[in-house]
Amino acid sequence: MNLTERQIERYSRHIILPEVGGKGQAKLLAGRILIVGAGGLGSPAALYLAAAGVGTIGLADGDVVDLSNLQRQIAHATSDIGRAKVESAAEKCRAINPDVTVRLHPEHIRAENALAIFKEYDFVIDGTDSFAAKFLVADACHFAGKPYAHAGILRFEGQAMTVIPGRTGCYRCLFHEPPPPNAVPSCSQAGVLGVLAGIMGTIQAAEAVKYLLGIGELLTNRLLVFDALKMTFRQVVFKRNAACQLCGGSPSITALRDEAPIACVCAGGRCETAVT
Amino acid sequence: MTSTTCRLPEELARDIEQHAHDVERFLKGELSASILKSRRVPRGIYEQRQNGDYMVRVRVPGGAISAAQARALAGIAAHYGCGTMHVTTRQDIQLHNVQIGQTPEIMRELYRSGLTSKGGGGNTVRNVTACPYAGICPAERFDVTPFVLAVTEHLIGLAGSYNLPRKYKIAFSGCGADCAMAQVNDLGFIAQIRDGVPGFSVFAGGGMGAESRVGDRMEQWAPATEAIRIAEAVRRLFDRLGDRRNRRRARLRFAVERVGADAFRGMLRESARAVADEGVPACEMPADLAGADAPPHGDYRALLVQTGELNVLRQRQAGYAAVPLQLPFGQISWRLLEALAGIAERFSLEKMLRITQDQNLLLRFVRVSDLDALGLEIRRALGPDAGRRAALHSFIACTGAATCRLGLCLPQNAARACAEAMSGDGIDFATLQAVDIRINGCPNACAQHPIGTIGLFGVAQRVGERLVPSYRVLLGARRGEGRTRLGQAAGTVPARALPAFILELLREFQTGRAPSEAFAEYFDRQGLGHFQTLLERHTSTPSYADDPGFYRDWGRDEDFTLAGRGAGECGAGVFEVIAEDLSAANKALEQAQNETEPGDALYHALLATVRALAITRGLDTQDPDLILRAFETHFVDTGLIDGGFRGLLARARGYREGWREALAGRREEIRRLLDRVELLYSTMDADLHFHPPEAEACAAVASSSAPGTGPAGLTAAAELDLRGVACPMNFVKAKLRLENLELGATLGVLLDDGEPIRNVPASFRNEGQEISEISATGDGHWRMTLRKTKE
Repeated sequence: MNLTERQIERYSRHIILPEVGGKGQAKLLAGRILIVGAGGLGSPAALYLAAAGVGTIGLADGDVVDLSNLQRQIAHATSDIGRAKVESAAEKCRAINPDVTVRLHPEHIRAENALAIFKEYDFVIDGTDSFAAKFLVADACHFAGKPYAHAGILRFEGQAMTVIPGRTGCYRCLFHEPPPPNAVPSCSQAGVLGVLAGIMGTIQAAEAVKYLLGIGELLTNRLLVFDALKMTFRQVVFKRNAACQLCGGSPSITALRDEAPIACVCAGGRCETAVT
Repeated sequence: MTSTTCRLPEELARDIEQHAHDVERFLKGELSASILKSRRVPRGIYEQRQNGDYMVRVRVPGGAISAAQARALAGIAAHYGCGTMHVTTRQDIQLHNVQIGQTPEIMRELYRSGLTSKGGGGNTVRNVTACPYAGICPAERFDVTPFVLAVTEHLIGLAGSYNLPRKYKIAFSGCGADCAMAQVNDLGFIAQIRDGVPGFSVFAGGGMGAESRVGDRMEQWAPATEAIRIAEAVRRLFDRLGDRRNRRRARLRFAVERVGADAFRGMLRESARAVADEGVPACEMPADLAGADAPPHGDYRALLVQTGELNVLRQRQAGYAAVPLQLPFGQISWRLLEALAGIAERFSLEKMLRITQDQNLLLRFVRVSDLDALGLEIRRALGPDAGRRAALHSFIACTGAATCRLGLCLPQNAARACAEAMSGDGIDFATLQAVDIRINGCPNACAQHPIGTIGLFGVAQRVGERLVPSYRVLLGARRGEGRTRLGQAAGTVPARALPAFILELLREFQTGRAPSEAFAEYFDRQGLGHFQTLLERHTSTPSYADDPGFYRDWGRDEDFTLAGRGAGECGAGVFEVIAEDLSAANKALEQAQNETEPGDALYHALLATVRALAITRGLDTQDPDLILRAFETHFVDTGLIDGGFRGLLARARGYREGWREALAGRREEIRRLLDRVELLYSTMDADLHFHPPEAEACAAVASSSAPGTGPAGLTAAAELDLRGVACPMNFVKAKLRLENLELGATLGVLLDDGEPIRNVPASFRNEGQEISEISATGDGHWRMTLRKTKE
């Protein structure tokens, strides 16, 4: 693949890197990444991946932009309120880099559509905002055989990890199943520091880029836990669970199914457990 | 003896009046300095390093100047206060320190004496030079002078001789010794008799300076009468094939290289036939074109003998001798020139002086019986050393940073220091006779260093935070038909260490040479490595605290600096284009002020502003997108233009795409950008680099860690030209090219001096690739050869 003069200039700071070079950049341009959720995590991930020249970016989200999103979901502007999030985010990606093809999936990921969408991509970024969705993404990636980067944020804390299905520990090895409803924080507790979304979302983007390039060590068999108040990163090392109901020796989950959404009930809000 | 001066065409008289008109308008403020520059430079009028002082370069075909003309020149120099004149290695005479208002009258006076400065500079047919011994040399095949004059008379009358892609230099030599250096001119003729018929072997595409090159042989022999047609045919080919966009590669040698010598030969023959068909006349054959029957091969210097006060050459005319008059570095006062005109009238049968390629004068047709009396006269006029070859006379030096805008070092001062060291230390006549030390203040080649037995050119080396004036040393050059070879780089010596190095080199040569062995033969026998080792002993630079002298040039008390290096005076073609854009930008800005809807005018002003300098980076286009992008890449990204202007450039794009208000209220900002562009333009040098006041130091600093070695011998196919590409884009582009090559393949890369040559090789080493060679190109750039050793 021959880069154009403009591409050479645009990607020069990548090409300079010994681990990337022109060949690595060509891999990125040929890469296909699905971002599930165009919110707090998905916004920075999408923008950086577009800037990096990832050739195809898929955006899956059924929501429209709401005023309360704008504190952290940086792909959207005030003038986008009421627009589909995938449209708003796609416009920003294209503005950053016309090299990128952005594909829109203006719907929430569910058991019946997930596999068809996932199979079009090389790598998935989980930018969803509920335990139900996160377990669905984890399961769908397992059945579609797609590596993915997980992240979640709440208040001042974020967590991230990368899963290569069949080879590394999965989300269910660690968390088994969604928490019971009474364990869910109340609305007053479920705030989130806006920049946290940027920090964790860009960690996911970095994992995606490394995966496409085939360089470095992925965040596998490790859960990275970030505390913005203490400004510390902590690693929880774990192993693949032989008894995992999804990827273990005799799995109990053998087909994709939707988990019941777990949300707090508060006046006029749809605020769910993990805010993104 | 044949006539030895030219008939000047009447067009030149009209051109002088046009010049007078231009100067008048300039002085009234009606003509911009840049437009005047584009017109005066081809007329041989250059601005000196000191603003407001001008130099007039008078062409002297074959270097032959009559005593009457010499007197007239002395008179002009005296009347206009020019002080010291210069005779040059291309047989011109330069009048210095002239005011622009005086130039029309000076040119009129020159014209009345049969002299002209037209074609003294710019992209024109320059002075046609010849061996100064033409007509008298015992070794010559025949006198080339009539052909020099015929070619000159033909070419100086053509308008097309003054708007070429670059300069066009022609030289004639009378025999294979090639004293006129025909093989390193754009077009060279070397006299050759075949079956009793006088003719020339013809060379094309030689030249010195940026990427010096020995010319290719075009004809083994062509009838001498064809000289005009061949010169005209080459002029036309050059006009057509020369690269006008890229001044650095505009000389004929690059065109010959591009099309290949064989193809060029075919084109030349065809063009010469067309020229003849059009009725361009053959040269008239002089009746008395007698030459030596069996000429011995040898440089004239080898034929000099010492007699009493003088070194003389016995002419082939019995009873006559020629006497070289040594002028240190070609400098001559008007009084001295007048005195020598008198001497020529009294002692020379031809009543002429000839300018030599080593910046001296030659008095010819002196009766042998008059030599003693002449010796006394010369001693009186020139001092005791003038007739003898003293150490200083071995040096041919340009003026360097003393007056030239391109100069880095002060070569004349360095030469004096070397000569002083040599005089005290028994370097004998025979040794001095065997060397010419050509020393140039910068990598250009006015002193013709690539062809000197010892060639030196000024560079700046960085040691720690400071600059050390230094000379790169070239050795082993050789002249001779079919044998001409340029010097090879042996290394770089600090200017302060140069005398000790030259002394050791000459002493070694003096004791080590075989009887009458030439320096080039001695060089071949010892090998380059031997001289590199010798040189290595003179390369160390003490710290500033230990010896600040190493950080100062000869004759200067202050630390070495590159300040004052500024806009060169060549390449008027490029300048015209720039001046046009700048003037258009100014006009449009004015217009914008008077309009209710100024959007279009502002857009045009902005576009003309950013387009003005694009040509210096090889871009000549009207495409706004290309222009805006190139401006960002070459000027904003490189820091020459403040990044704050990016917004304005984005607005220009917006305006183009239909955002009507994009430039509203931006007039002042555009004005500021235009001012900045004009400032950059005013600091542009002849290599089209900019030296804005805030970035004085780094422009031409050679990294001391990069060893200077000879040409890398790469094929053009595997070479990537990244001159003018800033860090890190140069590395990016070279890396991408290397990625596509097989393991083990090599890639040549041309890089700018300064940051690029310091950074790019190091970056490749970091990546595990092999740098097999780094060499100076001789024009301030570098050639790096990479070998792909890692995927």
